[in-house]
Amino acid sequence: MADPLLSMYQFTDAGRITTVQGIPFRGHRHLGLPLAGAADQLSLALANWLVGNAAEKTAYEITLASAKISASNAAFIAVAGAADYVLIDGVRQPAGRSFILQSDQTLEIAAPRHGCRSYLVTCGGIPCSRMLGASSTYAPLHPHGSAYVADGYLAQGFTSNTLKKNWKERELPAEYALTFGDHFLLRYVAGPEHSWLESDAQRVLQAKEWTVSQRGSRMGQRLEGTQLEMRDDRQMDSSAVFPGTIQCPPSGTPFLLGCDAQTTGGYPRIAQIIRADRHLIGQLRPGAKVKLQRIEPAEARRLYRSKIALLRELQPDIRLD
Amino acid sequence: MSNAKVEIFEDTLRLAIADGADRLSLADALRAAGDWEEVVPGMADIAVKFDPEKMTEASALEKFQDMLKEAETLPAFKSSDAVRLTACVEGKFAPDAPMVAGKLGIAPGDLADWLDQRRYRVVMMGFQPGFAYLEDVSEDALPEISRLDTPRQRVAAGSIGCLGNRLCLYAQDGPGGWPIIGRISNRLFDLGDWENPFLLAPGQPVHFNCLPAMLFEKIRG
Repeated sequence: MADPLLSMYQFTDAGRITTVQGIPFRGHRHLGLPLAGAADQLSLALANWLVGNAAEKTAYEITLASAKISASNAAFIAVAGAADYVLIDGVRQPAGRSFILQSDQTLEIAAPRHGCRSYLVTCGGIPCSRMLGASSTYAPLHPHGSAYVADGYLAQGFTSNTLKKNWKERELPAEYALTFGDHFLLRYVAGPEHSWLESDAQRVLQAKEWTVSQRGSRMGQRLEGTQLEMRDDRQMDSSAVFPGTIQCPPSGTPFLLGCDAQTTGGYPRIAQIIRADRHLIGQLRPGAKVKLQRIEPAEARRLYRSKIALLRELQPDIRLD
Repeated sequence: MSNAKVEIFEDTLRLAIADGADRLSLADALRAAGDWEEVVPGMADIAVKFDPEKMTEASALEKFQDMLKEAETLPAFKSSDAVRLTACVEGKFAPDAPMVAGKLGIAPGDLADWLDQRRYRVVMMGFQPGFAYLEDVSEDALPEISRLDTPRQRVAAGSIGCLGNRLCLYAQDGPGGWPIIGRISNRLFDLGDWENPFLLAPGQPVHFNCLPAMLFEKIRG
């Protein structure tokens, strides 16, 4: 068997925020290390399925804007997530299917009309080193931009005649295809301090249509719409928070934590987005509308089990944190 | 501890435990058991995350309760070895040192000796990778010092924050609201060490060795 050869391609336009994301940092929250990884783990897993990769093979996470690459030699590529389509040498093709990008062709990933993040994967993944078992970028550890992809960035993929035999173009089956709109429904279970909310605020949390603030990031985003009233100004000891936790700071504007969220916090945790819906947080763009719906923990677990069972039929090693 | 009230959520369990040593020994035991996705001690509680695909509500609760029963017979918390951090509490490294020294009732020039003599332990980690909250292990009642009215946009990595009996150590550059009384030269999260980038762990004893600014600068390189 021929050794896998590296293929090179270059980001001629790296878009707005493009990072390398794959296996997240699991099991280190007690030392302050957030999860990181793909903000939308499901879209990453689906993109990887399209090129025959394991669910968490390292990919480029492209945020909001369009991006362009050109390949120096042939590569087997897919894009899934928010982008509706790609342009191969200017010819439009829907996202959510894999294709061979021939040498000297240019690929443009279109800016999404809805949703926020797209995943660009290559067959075999991106060669990258691992830290604590993870192959992901936690931005604050890379203040000098080393894990950010900038214009002119040279990327590597794998290619070889052996691998090329597995280059079978695929399309996502209809029942797995994700489409995003401007409105998101996120279901939650009551958080440890949910009862600190005034009873009317408990109702408003579900009744209100919330707007994702302009200055969100992978760490989290404010949900704007109204101020939630607390029963009193009780203080709490710092305690664990997770991606999907909704905190309510004294301002009363709820804050939804994302995949890069800090590991502990001192603001009341009024809600926790359910595990089945958490990957959607990565698709919330500034201005998106969010409805929150409270369900019971047992129902949340049931929803997660049926969702993950369906996903495993397609991508057996998928994980949703 | 086995009668303690455990709260269950979709995929997390939470238990209030005020005693620091009990909390950390239980956290270590839970982590060693390997059943949990995350085991996160807070200031006064412990949270574990579980995978609902692998555990039901009943089995998660049972596993957790079993661990609490065992915890009653666990050996006392065995912390990692004490670590001495090299610090400087002068000049540009310590913008709030004069204010804090004033509140503590000591001369600013005595702050280095004061810090050298105190003994701390890591009570919790969080906020940033490697960021540590330290608790003064002596029983001295120190005046409480409040956070800055306006948090700084950028606090340098290695900065020592002080709220009286409680210190914090900033692991990365970032925003922060604690009064800053100095800087350490040690890296709390070392990007160059891919196997074990963390310098500190919850429960670890910590003390300081303060150097004059000129010497400290040399050590930092």
